Amino acid sequence: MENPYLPYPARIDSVVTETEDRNLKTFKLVFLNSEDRGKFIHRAGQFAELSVAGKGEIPIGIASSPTEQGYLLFTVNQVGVVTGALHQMEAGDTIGVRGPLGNWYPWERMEGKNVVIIGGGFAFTTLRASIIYMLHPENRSRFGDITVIYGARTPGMLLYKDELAAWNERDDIRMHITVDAADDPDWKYNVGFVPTITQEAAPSAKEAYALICGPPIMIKFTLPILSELGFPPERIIMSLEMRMKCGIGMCGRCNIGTEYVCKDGPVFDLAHMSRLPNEY
Amino acid sequence: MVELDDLKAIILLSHLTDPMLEKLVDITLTMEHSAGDYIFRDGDYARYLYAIIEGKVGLELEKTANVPVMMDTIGRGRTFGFSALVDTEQKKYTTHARVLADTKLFAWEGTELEMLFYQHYEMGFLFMKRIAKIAKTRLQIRNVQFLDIYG
Ligand SMILES: Cc1cc2nc3c(=O)[nH]c(=O)nc-3n(C[C@H](O)[C@H](O)[C@H](O)COP(=O)(O)OP(=O)(O)OC[C@H]3O[C@@H](n4cnc5c(N)ncnc54)[C@H](O)[C@@H]3O)c2cc1C
Ligand code: FES
Repeated sequence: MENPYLPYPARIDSVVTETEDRNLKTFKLVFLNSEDRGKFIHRAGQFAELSVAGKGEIPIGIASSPTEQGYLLFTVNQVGVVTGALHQMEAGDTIGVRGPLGNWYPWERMEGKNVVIIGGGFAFTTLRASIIYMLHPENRSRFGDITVIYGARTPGMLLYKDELAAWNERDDIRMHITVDAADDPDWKYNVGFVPTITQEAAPSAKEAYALICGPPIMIKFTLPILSELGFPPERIIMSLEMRMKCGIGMCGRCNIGTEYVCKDGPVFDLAHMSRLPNEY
Repeated sequence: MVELDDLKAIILLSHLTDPMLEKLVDITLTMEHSAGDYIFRDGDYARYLYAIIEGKVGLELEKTANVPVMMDTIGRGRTFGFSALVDTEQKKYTTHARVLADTKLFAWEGTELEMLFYQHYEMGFLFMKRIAKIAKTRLQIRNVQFLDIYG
């Protein structure tokens, strides 16, 4: 049996600065050993532990879809020691990747259903993986309507701008992009808070699942709207970002009641979450 | 002819009874604007309260002269131009309202609405109570946005 604490070495292939404040970067990683590539089989919604030598290890959502083969994408917000060290690294540098870890969005349950994706700020990473996954020609017919509502502070703070623009042109996905304020006279999307735009877009709850990731206060305002629209708690799916250490349910760092967010989550439906102690 | 069902699709009106909506029909105007039009500008006399049947309108404030910042986009079912109803003496709009996509609107003249509410207190109460709720939600949302929540 392989040691679950041992990371796979990976080379940084490219680094893209995503946002105007330069605090969010997307790292494209390629495994140094080609056999490791075959061992790392993930589903959209999972995360990995990224390690920087001498600095530490951090959980980061996998931003690439399983359909994007040969590399992994991670979008990292610079907040502290490890994320800061990662932001100093460049193409060609080596880091460790351990995973894939945690559960994933309920792809089996969502088959044949409409999917509403609601994201805010930099918590859009595994939602990007999900959109790419569903739009893949082999998968698109397995899902009904896809609606995306995604908000950020300003146009310059949106992630994956080129992809957002390309999705906006397609007719098999409905995009509702929004920002808190826009001083760009050519801004052609929405201005307003994600919950308001969700209310306006009013996606039907019929045969639909909602995947929601974002700051807790955004989620708090959006949940009542989803329930007004008729989404039952078991069809509202969220991803939690708790502090973690081992990522495999061994150290007890990330528990809520009897559940370990790293192993039983990070993806939970609202019905399940309302049965947990209110610690998240 | 304005249909009751069309009025019911407006969030502000969704709590009014059919007899109340029937009273409103008589003073409801419908208007159409093309993308690029200004429905009103900051400082204009606030004659009408508007609700969007179809389309999209952006509310803008000028950060400095001729540098507008869009503060909100208003889509289907939502209302704007509250100054026509809630200002007491000087009724002035406090933003520009620029049409972003061809838009169909309902409009009510503020003074006519006030007259109607004086005649039908209960309806006025329910209408203004709903306006207060919408204004509270918008204020709450502004507060949250002020926190710069997206990190
Ligand atoms: C399942 C999961 C997925 C995640 N996905 C992403 C992702 O895709 N992109 C991304 O940028 N971040 C993601 N995070 C958050 C990321 O793990 C933390 O930002 C990171 O661990 C901080 O490490 P650091 O050493 O740079 O910060 P530290 O030096 O440890 O701390 C610096 C600051 O960050 C805060 N902080 C540390 N950990 C967290 C945390 N887990 N949540 C919130 N605040 C924290 C601390 O309170 C402190 O204020 C995810 C977390 C989890 C659990
Ligand atoms: S991080 Fe160790 S148990 Fe979850």
